[in-house]
Amino acid sequence: MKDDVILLVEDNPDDEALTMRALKKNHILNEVVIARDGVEALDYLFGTGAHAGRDLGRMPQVILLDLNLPRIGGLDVLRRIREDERTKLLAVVVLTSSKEEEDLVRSYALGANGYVRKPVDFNQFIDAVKTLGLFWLLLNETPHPRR
Amino acid sequence: MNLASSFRAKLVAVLGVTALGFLLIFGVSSFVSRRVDRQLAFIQTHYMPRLVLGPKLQADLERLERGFQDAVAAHDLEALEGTRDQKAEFLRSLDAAGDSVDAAASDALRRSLDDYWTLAYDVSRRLIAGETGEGLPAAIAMMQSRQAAVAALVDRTASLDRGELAAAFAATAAAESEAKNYRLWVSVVSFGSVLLVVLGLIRGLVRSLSALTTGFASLGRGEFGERIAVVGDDELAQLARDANTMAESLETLDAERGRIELALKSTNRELEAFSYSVAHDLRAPLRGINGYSTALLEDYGADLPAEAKEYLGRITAATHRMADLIDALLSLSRVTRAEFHREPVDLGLVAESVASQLRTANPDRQVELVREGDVVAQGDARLLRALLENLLGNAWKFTARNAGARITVGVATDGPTPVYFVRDNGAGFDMAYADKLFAPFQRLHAQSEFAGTGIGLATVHRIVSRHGGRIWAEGAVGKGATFRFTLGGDQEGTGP
Repeated sequence: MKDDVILLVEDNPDDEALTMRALKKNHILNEVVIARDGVEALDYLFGTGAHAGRDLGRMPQVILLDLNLPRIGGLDVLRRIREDERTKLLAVVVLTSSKEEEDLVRSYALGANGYVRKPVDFNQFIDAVKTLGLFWLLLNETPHPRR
Repeated sequence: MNLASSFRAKLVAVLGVTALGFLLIFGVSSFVSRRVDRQLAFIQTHYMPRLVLGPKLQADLERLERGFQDAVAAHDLEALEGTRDQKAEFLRSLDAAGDSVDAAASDALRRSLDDYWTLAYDVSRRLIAGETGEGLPAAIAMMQSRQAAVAALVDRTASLDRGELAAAFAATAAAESEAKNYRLWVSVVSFGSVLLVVLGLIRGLVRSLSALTTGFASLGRGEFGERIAVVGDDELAQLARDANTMAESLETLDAERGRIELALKSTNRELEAFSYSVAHDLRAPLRGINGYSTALLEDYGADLPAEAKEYLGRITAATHRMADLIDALLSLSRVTRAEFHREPVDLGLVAESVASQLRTANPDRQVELVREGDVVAQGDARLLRALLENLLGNAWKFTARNAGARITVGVATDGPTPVYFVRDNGAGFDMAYADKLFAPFQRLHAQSEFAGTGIGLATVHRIVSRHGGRIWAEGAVGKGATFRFTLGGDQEGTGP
């Protein structure tokens, strides 16, 4: 299980650092790939740009996706993931500040597997990351991606 | 009838035609009546005197005869002279008959009377003088024959042809019946014309009115591009023209409103984008502050003096309050932006659900929720839930220090519109500050006493406003508070 990669799509360095801390606090030692905007995320997933030539046989076990991203937004990233045969079965959990009903509805409409609102309180955030890791990395079974 | 004139002109026209009709009726009927009158007058002058003339002349003749006999019997010459008067009386009677007697017959009668009188006078004078003679009996016989001639002429002169009289009456009757016919026809024609004119006017009126009705109906439906057909040139036509001018103004205003609506929509979109970035971008630094403060405490807490740790605690507490404020502001702006669907909402059920949420969040509190009657309202379900969350949340909060905390939700339906209320027996408030309750960020209690953002009641106020209703509060310090609100009538909810 520790071979499984987590893709964290997050543009805010503070949130990135705190998420990493929260993962560490929960003893989640999986490799975390960080994409700082939508373009980087898609480059990683499809082996383009900076990630050209990457082994696409190794896909993340879960993608933690922020919605408010530079260049290509989170919802567009989600749409492209679901449109592509190689990535359409990946687990995507939206991790965002927004609790607007519209964001929730649009995320699920585009095929999000979960939606978690980042709490302001760091201890609550640690709890949330713990639950996420427990569920998506340990409990949840995902189909093997097609090659 | 020219319809292109004002009502005054039309009224004058109707009156004129009516007056003309009456004049015609009056003129014709008086004309035909005069014919009948003439006929009757002819009968009066021509036949009536003759009816009385015969007996009168006979009586006069008899008196004259007696005059002679009396004078002879009394041997009175003076009395004999009196017979002149009696003869004159006879002639006066004849004159009185005037034109009714034939002039020739009248002359013959006069001559005959003269002859008779002259002879009778002579015979009488001789008898009074005591004359006797051979000539006398012959003269008397002559006199008697002349008297008979006069009598015969009287008969002839005064005689009346009954057939002629009957014909005269028949002619009168015919004239009378003809007059009746004339009067009837003239009346029919006059009333007919008046009726035609009035019907024409009414038809014009009906056409104008129906054009106006259709026009105003389309204006009423908001079809300001429609124009009313202008019929004729009367006051109704003026009304139609004015309505068309009004429609033009409305069309302009409507277009203007459309532009403003568009501008408002774009402003709303901007506001939405703003709220969205508030939700995201203001919370992110808070997470940073909170996260790093917590990390600092965790990683270096052992090396920090107690005071520094207390400060870090205060920093994290402040981030919580700020997060609450942001959430409250967002929910306030959501109330304004949310779509509005009016439907029946059982406020009692919603209150139960909200109360059970509050009980789950505060398991140590004992608060009794009382539902008074059937509290069903017409409104937007989501907004009304937010309203009760705020009002019950407040009541819950302000009864924290009461032993027998009780919240009542009910409705008073005795007025024209239902008045809903949420009552508690909590801390209450000073009525002097009642006007500050519903303004954003206004708080009547210290943060240390009761926590809060000061936005909840502003949100409640905005929800009630969107329903077209009103909210007000009553209370006293230590004696609880009652919030009453209406949710408008059957009108649609209004925007921000």
